[in-house]
Amino acid sequence: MPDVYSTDLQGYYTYPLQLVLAATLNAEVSGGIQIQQGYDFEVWQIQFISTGIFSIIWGTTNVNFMSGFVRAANILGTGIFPHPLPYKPVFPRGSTIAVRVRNDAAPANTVDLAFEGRFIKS
Amino acid sequence: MDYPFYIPFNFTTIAANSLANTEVVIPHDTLIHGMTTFVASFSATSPYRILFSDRYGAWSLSDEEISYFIFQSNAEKAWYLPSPLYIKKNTILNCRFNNQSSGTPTVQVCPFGVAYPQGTHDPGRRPFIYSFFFNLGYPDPTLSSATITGYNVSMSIPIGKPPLEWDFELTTVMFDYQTLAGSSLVAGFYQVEIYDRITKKVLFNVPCNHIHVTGGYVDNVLTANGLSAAGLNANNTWQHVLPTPVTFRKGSQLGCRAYQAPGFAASSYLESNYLNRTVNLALLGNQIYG
Repeated sequence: MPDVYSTDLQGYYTYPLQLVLAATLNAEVSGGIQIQQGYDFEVWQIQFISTGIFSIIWGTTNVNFMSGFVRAANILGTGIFPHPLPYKPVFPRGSTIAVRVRNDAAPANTVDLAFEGRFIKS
Repeated sequence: MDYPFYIPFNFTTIAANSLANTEVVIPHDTLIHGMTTFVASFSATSPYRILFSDRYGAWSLSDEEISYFIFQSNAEKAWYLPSPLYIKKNTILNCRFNNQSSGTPTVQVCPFGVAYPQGTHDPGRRPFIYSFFFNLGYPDPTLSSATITGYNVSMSIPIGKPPLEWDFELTTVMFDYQTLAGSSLVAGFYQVEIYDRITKKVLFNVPCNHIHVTGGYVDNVLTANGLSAAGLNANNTWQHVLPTPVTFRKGSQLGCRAYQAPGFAASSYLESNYLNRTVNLALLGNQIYG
């Protein structure tokens, strides 16, 4: 069993990610978060704010965690109403959380995501 | 490696008053924990119902369709099954969408859970929902613009289910109503009675507000039938979890009825008309095998 990284806040950490979607319906953009060296990262929940509606696919660089684009409101929570993931995936140190978003409206759309979780030793 | 898994079912501008089906081949063994729903261009008068099943009819999640106000919620207030639903790899999961309005809604229903679950479910039980639809329509159309000042003016006929094929462990009760086109929004005070048709044993018979099955009087009024201005359901996913599960034995028959109940509000809140109002009661629980 991994033990909790306990030097501060019991390993609690949040990775932010901002993606900007072009002013085109169905425009897509990809991004990633590289987990820093030293500790694996366990994702608990993802929060978002955005300037428009969008859909998302996320996972590892090899595996998507959904069978297709999911509307943001169906999978992402907000600060006051987070959506705990049904399973907390652990991303190894140095690996990447892969994210792809799609604009579901015509105007440009700025998407801010926060991957909230904790560092763990393995 | 286990990981979270989401399965979106997209229904785009479904034709008015029609059925649509969307299917997804489940790529790996999956445990479904709950469901979320995104709705665009939705209003209180564009109701719909869904039914999840195996493509070949081997099983379904509910015995009848369930109404949007039973399950619809976004990720912030996700709707959970009473126990995880195990779906084997390569199952073709079908979602039937019954659009009951003259509109053309765009909806994404999204079950979610865990891929490659390992030893986390009990093969001897499966979540199941018994769905009851009641029409509390008042039979006199001349009341269409009147204000009804009395209580208990409307009552459904009792509805019974066929004998249970398996033991059914009832864990959760959900209840709400919809207002179809042509009727007024009404502050709802409802009472439900759930009983065993064979033993005549009444499980309970209480005003819904008392057990918080609905969002309650204030929610209904302030949010116009539980729908926020943005079209997303705000209050219709309250689940009343029984303090202890109640098991209906194989062979017994579930019976329910619903009726307008004495409420908290002044009678002036009970507007007309009562036409076209439908109440959906959902009994959530687990089928027990063996």
